Amino acid sequence: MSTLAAAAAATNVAAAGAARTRGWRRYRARTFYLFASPWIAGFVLLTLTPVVYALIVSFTNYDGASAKWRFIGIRNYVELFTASPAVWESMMRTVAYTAVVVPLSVAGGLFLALLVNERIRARGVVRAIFFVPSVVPIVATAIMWRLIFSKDAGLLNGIVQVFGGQKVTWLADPYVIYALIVMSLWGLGGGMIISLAALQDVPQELTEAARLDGAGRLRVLRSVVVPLISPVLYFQVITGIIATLQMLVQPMLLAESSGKLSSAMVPESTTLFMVHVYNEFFYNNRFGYGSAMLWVFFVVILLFTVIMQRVSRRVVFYQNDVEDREDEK
Amino acid sequence: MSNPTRLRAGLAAGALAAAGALVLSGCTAGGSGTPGVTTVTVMYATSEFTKEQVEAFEADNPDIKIDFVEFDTNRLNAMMTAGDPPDLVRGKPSANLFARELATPLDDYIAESDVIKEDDLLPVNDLWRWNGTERGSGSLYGLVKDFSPDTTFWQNEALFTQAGVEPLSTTEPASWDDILTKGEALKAAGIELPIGIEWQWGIGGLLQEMVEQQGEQIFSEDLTEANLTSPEAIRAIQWLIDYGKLGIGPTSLNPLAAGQDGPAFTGGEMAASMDGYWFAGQFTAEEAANVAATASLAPAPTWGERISAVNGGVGAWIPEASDDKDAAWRVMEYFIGGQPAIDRAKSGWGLPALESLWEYLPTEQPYQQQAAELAKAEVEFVVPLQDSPYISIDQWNPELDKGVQSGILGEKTAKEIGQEVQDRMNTLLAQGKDQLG
Repeated sequence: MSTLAAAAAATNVAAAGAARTRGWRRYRARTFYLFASPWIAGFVLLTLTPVVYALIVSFTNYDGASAKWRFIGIRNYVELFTASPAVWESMMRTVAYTAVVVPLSVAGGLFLALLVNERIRARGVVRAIFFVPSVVPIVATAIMWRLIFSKDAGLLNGIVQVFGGQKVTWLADPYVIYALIVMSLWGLGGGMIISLAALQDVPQELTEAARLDGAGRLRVLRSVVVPLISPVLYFQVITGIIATLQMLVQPMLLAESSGKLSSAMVPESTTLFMVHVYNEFFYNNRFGYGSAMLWVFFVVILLFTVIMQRVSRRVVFYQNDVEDREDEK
Repeated sequence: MSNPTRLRAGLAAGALAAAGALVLSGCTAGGSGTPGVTTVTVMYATSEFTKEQVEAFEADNPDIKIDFVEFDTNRLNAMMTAGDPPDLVRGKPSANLFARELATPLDDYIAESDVIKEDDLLPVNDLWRWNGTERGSGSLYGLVKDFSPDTTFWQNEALFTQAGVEPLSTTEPASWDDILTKGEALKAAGIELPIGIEWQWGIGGLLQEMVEQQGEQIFSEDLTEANLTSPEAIRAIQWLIDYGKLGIGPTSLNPLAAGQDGPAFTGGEMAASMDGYWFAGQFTAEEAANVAATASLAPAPTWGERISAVNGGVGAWIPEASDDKDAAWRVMEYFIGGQPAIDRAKSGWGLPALESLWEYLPTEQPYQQQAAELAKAEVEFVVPLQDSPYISIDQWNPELDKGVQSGILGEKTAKEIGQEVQDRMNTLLAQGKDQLG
């Protein structure tokens, strides 16, 4: 075979190989998109379209029902940044509430996890008792707490009176914010389960080695356990922040408004940002302005998440990073 | 020449289309799936429009099926926003609703109706009239189901006597100041719940009535600005603050667990409740017999002109975007003027909005007879309060409530509250005006 013929044959083989690879890639891509298509369709129809629609609506004065609406440019955004102190007050209130609830939830969940990680009798039952509140529907939880905090028929005031105290109106300003915080912390059993799974993944030889080196329980927890489970704690912090910033139903359910879900009667201290948004949509019929509020909030949460992500690189310990560094050596 | 395969396919498609058209032609716009039957979606409260009433209507009207949806403001908003509203809706009359062109004018239907006639409509239905600029005159956009002069007071005379306090007159209106004085006296005598004003249901209408009784208005002539800094408005705000500070009844800072006065009054714990005629419907329960025996209805208090407000005027309206307004009107005729209306009148749960139905009001018990007589006298003073199309009472009620709360807590004066709420209302009014163009 001449050199040219051999080269041609080699080229043909190579071309056939490349074609097979392309075909395989195309097949894999098609299969991927085929199986992912329900989710992609759902994302486009139920997430992307409403989000884009909300962006368009934010440039209008649409009231949600009437045909009387028009484009008003960026006026909703201008008003948001210049003429609505109530918006920023509710946002700051929400941030403050988040700053209290999220650390307490994560720390509380970790504390419970450490507790139920101990070898105690009826450990499964104890775990279940702590976990159950986190799976109770929020409406039932709210009804329960309303019964506890109710001024006239509430359990809490009953206890207060037993000790000679006066009845307190827990579900109105200024106390209702405490009631909301307590209700929010009621579900920290969910965090407990996640932290518990992480705790059980901590290699015992590391904690035992630290003990042999003379570290006490607290020191082991601080220097060994917490760094090892820090990705899980970080996950709880980030999802907790996002969920708490977007909290809507709980303050509405806790408000004493003839038993109906009413955002307008939510006391001021629990008028969180999303409650304010809800008011603009459904009480003031300002769908355009409400959409602008949501878009600004979306950007704020996004920025917050990005910052948290950056900060987390310094404080969260990822096993993969260590292995990658060792591979590089 | 056409391809035979294509031709067959085209014919098959045409046949399918024709069959589909035939099936669809059996239904009207409402659609029910059954040929010749239309579906009317009714959004009302089950306690007011009962399952039995739905079944009775469907039995008498086999061409209409009712798809009943429990009334819920959020759901209504969602349905309206989606462009698929119910065909008949529970609602309160509101200039804002009319100005947004969401409701259908009913004048033509009434002109041709054998059930609901123009000359049978009591003036309270004027709450549903809108002439393009103000409420109270013009076309009718809904009908009142039943009503009460809402600021009349039911009183348990036995509790007054027990406390050594003279009950309110059942013929002459008291002054609002008298209400506070009696509340204080009752409280001093050990009555824990002297006077209820259903604060949780909103104090905006009450404040407006107090202001109009003094000859002043909440809104400017063109309804674009609010005035809560007039001496009349400040006086009304101060009354609400004093009521809260005296602790003579529930407020939003100190609400009842039940969310309304009813159980406290019928349970014999509350001496008087500002609830209007409809409240008597609760007295027929066996456990309320003792209270009913000593109950009486007192006229709406006043501060000058005798105006008796109807803050509710709850009734029904047909959305402009309804699929089948004719069928919806037939349901409305039945509900507002048919057997359900007669049954309601007989029950004592509210006054009929049609004059012809007043003969059915219950009068067997002394309290029923007294209340019916007072109601007949009181309706003379029922006039629609001013209502701006650029804001709804549901919008400014919470603003006022929060303002008055700060007054009760001693954080602000009535004047400061008036100024703050007025500023907020003016902002909302400007937004509403901008929306309506």
